[in-house]
Parts: sequence; structure tokens; C-alpha cells
Amino acid sequence: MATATVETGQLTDRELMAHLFRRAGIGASQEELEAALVRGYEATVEQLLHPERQPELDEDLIFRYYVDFHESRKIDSAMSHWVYRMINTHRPLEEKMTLFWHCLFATGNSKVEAPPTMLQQINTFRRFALGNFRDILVDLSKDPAMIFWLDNNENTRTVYNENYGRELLELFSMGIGNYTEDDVKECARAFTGWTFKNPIPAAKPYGRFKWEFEFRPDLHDYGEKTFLGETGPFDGEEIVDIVVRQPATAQFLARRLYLFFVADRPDQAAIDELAEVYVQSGYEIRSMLRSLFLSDYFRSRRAYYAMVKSPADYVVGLLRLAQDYRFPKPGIYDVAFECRYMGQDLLNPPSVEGWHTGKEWIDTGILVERVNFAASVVTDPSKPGIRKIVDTLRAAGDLVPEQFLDACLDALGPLPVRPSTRAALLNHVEKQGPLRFASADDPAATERVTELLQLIGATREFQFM
Amino acid sequence: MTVSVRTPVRYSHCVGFFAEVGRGFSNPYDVAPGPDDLLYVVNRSNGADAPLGGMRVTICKADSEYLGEWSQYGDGPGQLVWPTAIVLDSHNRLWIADEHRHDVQCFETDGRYVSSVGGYGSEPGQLNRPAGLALDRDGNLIVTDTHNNRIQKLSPDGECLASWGSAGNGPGQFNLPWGVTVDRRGHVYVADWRNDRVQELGPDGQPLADYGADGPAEARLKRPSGVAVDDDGLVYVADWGNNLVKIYAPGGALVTTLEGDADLSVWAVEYLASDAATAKLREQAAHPEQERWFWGPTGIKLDAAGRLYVVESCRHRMQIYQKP
Repeated sequence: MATATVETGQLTDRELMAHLFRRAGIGASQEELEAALVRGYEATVEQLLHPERQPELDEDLIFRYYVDFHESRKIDSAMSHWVYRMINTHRPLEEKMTLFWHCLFATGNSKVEAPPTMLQQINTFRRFALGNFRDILVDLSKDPAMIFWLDNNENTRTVYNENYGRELLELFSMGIGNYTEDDVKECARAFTGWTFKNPIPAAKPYGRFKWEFEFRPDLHDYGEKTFLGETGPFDGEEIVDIVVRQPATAQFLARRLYLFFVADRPDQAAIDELAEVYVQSGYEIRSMLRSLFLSDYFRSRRAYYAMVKSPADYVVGLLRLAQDYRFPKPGIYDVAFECRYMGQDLLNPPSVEGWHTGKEWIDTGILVERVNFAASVVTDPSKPGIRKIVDTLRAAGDLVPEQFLDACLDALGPLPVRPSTRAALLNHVEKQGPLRFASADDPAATERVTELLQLIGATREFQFM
Repeated sequence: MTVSVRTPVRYSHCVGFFAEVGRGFSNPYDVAPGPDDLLYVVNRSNGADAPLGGMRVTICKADSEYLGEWSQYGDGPGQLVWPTAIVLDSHNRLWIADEHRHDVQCFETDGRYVSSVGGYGSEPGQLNRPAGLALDRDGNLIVTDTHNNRIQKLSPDGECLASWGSAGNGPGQFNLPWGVTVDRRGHVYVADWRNDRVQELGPDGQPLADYGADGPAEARLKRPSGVAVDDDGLVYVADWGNNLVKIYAPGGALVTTLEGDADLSVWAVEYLASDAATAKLREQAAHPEQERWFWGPTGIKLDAAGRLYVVESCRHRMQIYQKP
């Protein structure tokens, strides 16, 4: 699947800002977009890069109404909790980076079977979302869900288990081809004794308990190791110190960030630029992202709508647009399940390699799921964001078909569409002529608006971001 | 463990364990003690209309005898979605507040629907996410009308007899209040959740005192959810945000703090006897003491026999304490 549109020229301010919010966040309401435009692009980037300056979500309020989130006994609750956070966060880049780390350090409840511990890992990702990669890898290595997922609890000085050590190098930092089998073995030795303890390992009778990291000196191999050409009695933290210094790690992380934030196809020059920032900044993710969002390659029309929306981007983006679930109410499970139905079972990736992205997000069945979900959201004018779109169109007065179509495309994006798509949509709109509201809540006119939003939501172009 | 210099209650036993259906609880929020040691426990569960959704009223006795359950999910008469509070009136009828439906419904104890009051809105007699329920000596309902930040006194027919409070943090004001109780003098105690205090109001709603808002750190409340008052005037607070129960003397001095003392309930023991794998797993517990602690205490009630019930929404049980 190619890029959605083949247009050239600079992005308008509005196009660029919406682009930023789709990539550095999970979409934005019209109000958020307008406020950001007043603030300006660079100031908005800086605001996104400093989530700590924005209010945290009131978890007490969430837990008061969603007691099952509070408890997280079931993975469905943990997943729904995270989706609810994505919909409501005031810190969109923090949440997007949490998703990034989950995709990169893919850990699945299918094996862990401990939802509170899975969610604890997500909270860890959120805590270090824009931090230093060295700290991130150390925290990751101490994460109980990860330890169990990759068997490091079975890695002792008498019986080595190389699973975590191998994936740390292959999937989490350097990439295959940049280390030897001996490096894997030595890496594993350094993480011996990094395990976890479970306060009470059973879901019954009284629910689950969060696992805790534990270092077992009696299981740790204190011997000398030779790793990536360096020799010493390394422990896990010292191994991470060596890993983050490797040029391969800079390239690896730069590439993953590029593929997550910029385009489904890599651009080596841009990746080299990001890798350089990684080195110069001392492995700071915030610095890399600043460089990325302010770069020409990110702000170019080439990157515009150049990525297929992930299911989380799709589902959460629509709900943020519709301003739905702004306060706890029943039904959040159904929303979270949509991500699963569309192929992104949050907290349960298919393997340690995570999800295959880009065009692999979509097949015929999933496209139908997407189209149906979009329809269920945008055809409901009781949702505040949809109501505002309808009200905005009404306030604009009578709209000829072209104006009507442009206004709806703008409300859902702004979304550029190919000439053939535009012609088909226009053909539909023209059948009923100009859009006129006979009264403030004219149901027929409202239905025309939501129907057109539904049709746009069903287009090929709407699957991109 | 009880942290105390003077302990007005002593841990007795625990009732409950997790079960989505049948004997057990699923995220219980509140309990209504009745005659003959009967208990009516409202289980909030996950609020989903699904098979084994878990939302229900469980009927059991204080000694753990299980007697049955009833529920029906939905927006129709006699159905429930997000039940939060439950009380038993002098006619042996149950009243249940529902935060999603914005009403308080009356049921026979076997679940037959009788009537309802409230409905969404901010006019007198209307409700916006009612969360707490109590009965005054005349049989009127005292309802925390949470999102209207007020307390309403409603007749059983739904007529608004009084309304106290507004949004804010001053005396007599509220910020998303939750639990409520009435003492023998007719004073009303409100768990003023987001103001981190319990407010005591006179019979006509005048603010008289507050608990847990200031003083030493150990006396302060964090997001209190429930409150009960005994005949001696001791105030028992479910300190939800701290996962504790705090007991105050009349006027506000902290008497003691409970952090939870749960052991295995009768139902839990019987369950573990039938599930050897789980029982075996428990032998590997690294911190078994954590099982004793409160987690998400919500409803807190006293009965005529001097028992204090602490309903734990996240541990699917009630810890029961006994007054000497």
C-alpha cells in the first residue's frame, strides 16, 4: 500500500499541526488543534516534549468508577484502562511513547498471565517515556513481566538462560549481526540473579498482587565477562552501559523511532541524523524526538499521511475526535476490544517481535472492522465532538456540495483524498444538493453530515495518518 | 495488624472471596446488614453486561452462610448497571443507588422491584451519579448526589425534603461526595471524597465538624469513601486512598488506624481445599502479609450486634471487626 496521496508543496500550518498531533499524539479534537495553531508549531512540539508540565490524569477518579481497572484482575480491564488513558491523556506524546515502548519491548499476557504486573510494565514505560535510553534499558531489565516473559527468572550462575540476554541485544538495542554468540552468553551471565518475587501467586481467593523485582546475590555470576570487546566482572547495569555506547544501538533506536513516527519506509539519511542526536545527547529520547519533529523530513509532504494507522491510533483517534469517554461510563471494554479485533491486542502482542506494522495492519476483514467502527462513532451526533462538527457546519450557513465536502474532510483531518475518491464523495453529496439546516437540530441535515463523515471514514485515505 | 494505642474494635473474621457468580463477591462496594445476621452485599463488578459479568446482590450471613443472589443488568425498572450503595429499611426493603442510572431503586429482599426515586438531573429530587445512601430515623433517604455536590433528603416517594451543599471546599460544600451515614442524633456524616475529609452536618444540614482534613499526617484522610458512626459517637472512615480504616473520636481526634487483618474466609478455605494447584502456589508467597491489608475499602457499616463491616472493593471480601 503506497502513501495515501501524491501531492507536493509545503504543508499548511493547519495540515502540519494535525500531522504532528496524529504522530506525536493520538489525534486531536478541533479545539486542541485551534489552540495549538495559536501557540505555534515549535512551542507545541516543546509542550509535547514536556508532558510533566501538563496535568496528570486523575487516576483516583478513574479507579472510583472503574473498580475493575483499580484491581486489574483481568487483562481486559488492564487493556481497557490503558485505552481509557490514551483517550483522555493531557500528555499525548507520553502516551504515544508508552505505546512505542510496548511495541518495541513487546511483552504478552499470554505467557505472563498477571494483568496487574503487565500494567505495571506499561506504567514503567510511561514513567520513562522520554527519558534516557540507558535508564530505560536498566528499568526494562528489572521489570518483572519482562523477566518472566523472557525467562530471566531461570537465569542463574549454575544454569544460564540466554533468552533475555539475546533479545536485549537482538530486539531491544543493537539488532542482529552486531554481536557474537559469545556476547550473548556473556550478556546473559551478567543478568543472572535478576529475578522477581510474587507476594501471593494466585488469583484466588482475594485477587492478584503485583510482582516485584528481586536481585538474588546467591544466583548471580560475579565472574569476569568479555562483552563486545570489553572485559570486567560486569553486572546487568554495566552491560547496558556498554550496549548504549554502540553505534549499532544508535542506528537501531533511530530506525525504530523513524518507523514509528515518520513513515513506514525507512530513510537512511534521516535515521543517521537521529542516530547522531542519540550520541550527542547522551542517549536522550527527548532530544531525538525534538530533532525528529522539527526536521524537514517529518514536516514534509512526503511524510504526510505516509503511515497506515495502527489499530490503537485508529480507535483512540476517533474517540478523541468524538470526545467520547471523557468521563467513566460503561462500554469501555467494547472500545478496547476494537483494537484487538483490528489486530492489535494491547498487552498481548503476538510475539517478542511485536506487531508487524504498515500495510500489514490491514486485510479485508480488518478493513470492514475499521469502517464499521468509524461509522459507529461518527454517525452518533450525541458524542460531543461529532455534535461540534455538525454545529460548525450549521454555523457556516448554506453550503454547496463542494463546500460541504471540504468542511467534512477538514473536520476528519484535514484529510487529503485522491481525485477519484473526491469525485465519488462529491457525486453522493450532489444528489441531495446544498446542505441547509432548517432548524438548530434539523435531524435530516444532521444525518446528512454524519452520513458523509461515515463515507469519508470508509475511504482508503482515512486508514492513513 | 492494628496500629493502635486504644482499639475500639477487634478483628473477628472475614467473609467472601472472588467469584463472578454464586457464592463469593465480585468487586463488592457496600453491604446492608439486616436482622438475624443477614447481609446484603452489592457487587459492582466491571459494569459490563456480559455472561458472568458479576454485578449482583449477594445474600449471606455474617457467619458466611451463603443464601443466594439476584440481579438483572440494564436500564429498565428493577435492573442495575453501576450499583454503588445499599441500605435496608424498616420495612425490610432494600434501596440501591446506581451511579449510571442516576436513581435509587427499592427492592424486596428477594430482588423483586418495588419502586424508584431520582433520575438524571440537577433539580430537587433529581440525581447525578448518586453514590451513598443512608436512612434517617423517619425512613427518609439521605443520598449523596455526587455530581451535583449536594446531599438530598428524599422521601420514599422521591420528594425532595431537603438539599444541602454545593460545589467547593468550604464548610458545607462538597467535592464529589461518596458515602454517607446518619447517627442516632440525626447528624449526617458525609465522606467528602475529593476534599479528603468527612463532614458532619446537623439534622438541618448545618456544617458542624470535619474529620481527617487536618492535624497530624496519620490522621489525614485521602479520598474517603465510606463512613459509619456508633452509638458512642466514634466515627469509622473507609480511607480509600490510603487503603486504611481510620477511627475518630467525636470532634475529630484520631483514635486508631486499621490497616487490615484478613485471614482466609470460610469460603476461601473451602475453595483452596478443592483447588490443590492454587493452594500449592500459595506456599510460594513472598509476602503473605499483603493479603491481610485492605485494598480499596468502600462501604463501611455497623450492625446491631456491634460488628463493623469493611467492604473491600478490590479484594472481594469483607473484614469484620467486633466492638467489645
